[in-house]
Amino acid sequence: MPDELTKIKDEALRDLENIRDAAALELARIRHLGRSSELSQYLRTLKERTADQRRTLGKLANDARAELEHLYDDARARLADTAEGLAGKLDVTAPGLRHIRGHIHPITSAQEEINGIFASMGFRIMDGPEVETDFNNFEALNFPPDHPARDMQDTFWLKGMKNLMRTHTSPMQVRFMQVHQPPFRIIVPGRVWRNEATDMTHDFQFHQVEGLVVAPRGPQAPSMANLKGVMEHFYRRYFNDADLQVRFVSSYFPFVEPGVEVFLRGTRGKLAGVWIEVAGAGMVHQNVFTAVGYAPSEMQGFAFGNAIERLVMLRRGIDDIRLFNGGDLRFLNQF
Amino acid sequence: MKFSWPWIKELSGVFLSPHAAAELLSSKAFEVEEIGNDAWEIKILPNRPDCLSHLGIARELCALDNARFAAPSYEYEKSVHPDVRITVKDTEGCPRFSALIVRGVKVGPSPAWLSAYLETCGLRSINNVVDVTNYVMLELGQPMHAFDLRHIPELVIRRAKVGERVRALDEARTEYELDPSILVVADGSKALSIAGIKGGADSGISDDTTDVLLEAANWDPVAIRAASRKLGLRTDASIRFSYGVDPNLTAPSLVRAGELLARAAGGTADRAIIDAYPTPRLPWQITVDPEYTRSLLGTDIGVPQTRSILESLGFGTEDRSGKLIVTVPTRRSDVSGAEDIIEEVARVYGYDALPSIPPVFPIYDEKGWVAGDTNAAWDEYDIIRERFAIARLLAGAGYSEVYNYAFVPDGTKFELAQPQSSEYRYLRTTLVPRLLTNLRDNLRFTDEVRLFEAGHTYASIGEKEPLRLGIALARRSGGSDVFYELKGALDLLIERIGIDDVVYDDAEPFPWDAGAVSATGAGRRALLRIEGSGMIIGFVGAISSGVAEELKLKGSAAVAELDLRALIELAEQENEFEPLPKYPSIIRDIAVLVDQGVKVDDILQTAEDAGGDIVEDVDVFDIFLPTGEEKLKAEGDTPEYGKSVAFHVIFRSPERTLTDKEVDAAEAAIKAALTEDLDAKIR
Repeated sequence: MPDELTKIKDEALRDLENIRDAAALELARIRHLGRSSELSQYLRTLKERTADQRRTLGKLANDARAELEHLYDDARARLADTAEGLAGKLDVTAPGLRHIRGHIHPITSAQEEINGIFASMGFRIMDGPEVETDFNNFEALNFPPDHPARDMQDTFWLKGMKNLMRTHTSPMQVRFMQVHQPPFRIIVPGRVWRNEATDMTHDFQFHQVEGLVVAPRGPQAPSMANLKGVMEHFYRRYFNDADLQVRFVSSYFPFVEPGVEVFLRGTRGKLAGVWIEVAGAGMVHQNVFTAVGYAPSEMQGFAFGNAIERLVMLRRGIDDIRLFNGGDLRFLNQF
Repeated sequence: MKFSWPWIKELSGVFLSPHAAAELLSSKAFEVEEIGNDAWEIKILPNRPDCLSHLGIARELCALDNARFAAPSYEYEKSVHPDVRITVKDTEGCPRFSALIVRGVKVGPSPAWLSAYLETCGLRSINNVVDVTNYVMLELGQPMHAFDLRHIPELVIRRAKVGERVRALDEARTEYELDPSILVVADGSKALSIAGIKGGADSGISDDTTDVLLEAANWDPVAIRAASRKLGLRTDASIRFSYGVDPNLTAPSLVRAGELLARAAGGTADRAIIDAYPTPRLPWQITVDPEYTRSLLGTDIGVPQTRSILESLGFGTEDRSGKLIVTVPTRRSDVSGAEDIIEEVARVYGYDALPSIPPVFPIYDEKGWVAGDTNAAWDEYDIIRERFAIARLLAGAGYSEVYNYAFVPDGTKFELAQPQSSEYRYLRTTLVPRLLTNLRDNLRFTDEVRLFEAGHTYASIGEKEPLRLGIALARRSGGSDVFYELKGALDLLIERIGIDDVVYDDAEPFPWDAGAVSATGAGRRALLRIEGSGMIIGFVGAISSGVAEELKLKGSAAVAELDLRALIELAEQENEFEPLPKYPSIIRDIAVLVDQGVKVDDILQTAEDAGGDIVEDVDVFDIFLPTGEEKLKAEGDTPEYGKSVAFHVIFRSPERTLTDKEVDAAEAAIKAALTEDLDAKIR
């Protein structure tokens, strides 16, 4: 670039740096880019050069002009903002206007999430009554009258009636199978009651989600290995932990055989590195199939039951189950 | 149940650390809940009566540890001419009654080897004779009882007579009144002990007893559990008998007790036992198809390993043309089907070794509902999802969801037989009372509370339980604005659901739950009714000051309750698209002064009717109750307690652009009708 042009450009830039208001900017623009500016004069003098020089120097001068115009435009926009800002500058650290926000109960959110995970596996989501009969809650589930297994579930009976508050969501297995033929897969989220002393981990009212998967016997009938697969898939998604492990431990529930307790071990939070019991599960007992009217030895399937509170407590780090039914917004508004 | 680890170790002969043994038991058999120094707490579930004994646990542990279990064997013979005649009058209640006479014992304190194990297991040492019976119960699982032979010329096993009494062999000598559902061991005239549950005070061992009759009987589990519950008496014996004890255990237990008595109390046992066992329980057989085992478990354990596992647990096995014939020992009353056998194999094999495999399924159910009661299971995913959507809407509007217990202190319908406390006595028929308590409790921490709850209420058995949605609002200071704010939330909700024909009806009495209605003030509440059908979908009201005072709710509050299922079912038709308007609207504002008793709804309805087809909408924008001074300023014959209502009337035709002239005419007609029908003063 010829010295002359460099000098013109440098002067324009230097002026630009020192400008603090729009009026000064306009004066500077006229001085450096206006019709009688040095740059314009320089361009006019190019006529007198050779065609070759005209081409090279003309390009250099026009590029310089374009660049300066661009910089002056930017400066104008910046100064305009500043001018406005001086009058109505915002303190961006002041709090936003408060909107009232309500909160959904953590058990509701959990149910919705759980329903979604199982619906994505083709499970149907069923509901049913909370006041049940002895037959649905116990007898059809292979708890004969005066069987000691009944002592495992302390029951709220209704006064002067043969009805009870369901002690688990499993009576829905009976209700559903009485009117459906396999193959099917369902879950039943719902509220249950146990008439037992309450403490940090026990409340007399809580929620379960029941699962039931049944198909005719055959090569692809649901197996215990399938139960493990479904459980693993569910917990990995619910706890958002792809490395979570599921372990079965021998146990006894009258309506499944074999019956197991389901333990989890995850990689973070309360589940990190420890085995924690979360559910009961097993292969549906043939006596249950008989009680709902299926022909003996024709069906095969698995069932499982989770306490939803327990899953939420593990995931959210809640240490007292009684908070869920306490109606205290200081707790509920955290979710 | 409490166990002694040294005892288990001694009987099993395993070389395992306590922790290794506990881990094996916990994962494959029973949860070891607590490991003390020597005392363990192991949770034996009701399916395994055989393991309510140290020998049972030892046998299990050997099988799990793949160690050989040396079962003790006790030889005995039966007495042909017994010294005590035993008559079993109820062989169903008492399938077996065995006894052994031990003579010349010296009753006294137990030697240390005897009392030590008992104490580890939480039993107090009483004397050498009683301690021996308890020792055998803990070791072999057979509850026993020792009679003083002097008191029992004969034994009769029968049902108790009405009002028959027995004094129990406990410290308080508690007297129990019996009835014919309860089995007793009696002599010729009176009941001596409550069968399978508790011995009697008058026939037991005393310091001067020399000859002892040991009883080892087998009782019907159902009868024992029922009697134990009826009497409120749970004992080590009753627990074992209700789980179900092997009837073949009585004789070996007597022999073992005879041995121990000789060592601990110097007695001499008779050579033969007295035995009433009309129908001996024999081992039974179950056929297991290895293919079914593979299918049920989803993995192949193989026949050789299956057999070796079963044999380690004491089952007999035989391969008969590809099928496995399994012989079940009589102590395993829990094993009755192929699945029970498969469970035994699977748990010992180890569930950890089970692979996890995704199931293969058609992507939708092919058969589905077949027949029968459609009300049996509620296929209500739409309602469940809509409930979540409503929760989100209300949360967005500032309301927080609570869950309450379904039990309330007051009620008329369903009462619990054994409530936890008087606070939780009845099944709720409405959500309102608990919501009011929630309002009060939360007002202690904040000036303003907005709540909702959705849940079942209990109106009748056998029908679908009503699904209710309760919404409540309270403010520490404020007046009737809480009612209108809550009504605004209801309007939002009803609009979201897509119902447009709800009317608020304040004509009393209200066919709604009295517990909800009585919380609100007369003249400050309304039913939500569907116009036309008259169907009632809910209730809303401002809480009366009396109720607020009684509750100590400091502030003003309003509450609403809706029939959620009805609401959602009403909304089943989706919102359909309406074409955007093609022609402009003309809006006129009208303000009227009316008597305070005139309802806003009447004004709007009158305006809409009088304006004709071209009225698209009538929309209130201001309601004003003039105060004294302003009232004076109003001109003319202002009604004394007037209220001012201002509203927009939106005129539009779907077919053409309206002219000012026709809108003027309609506006005039509206004003005339308001003046005429409602005695309104146009402002």
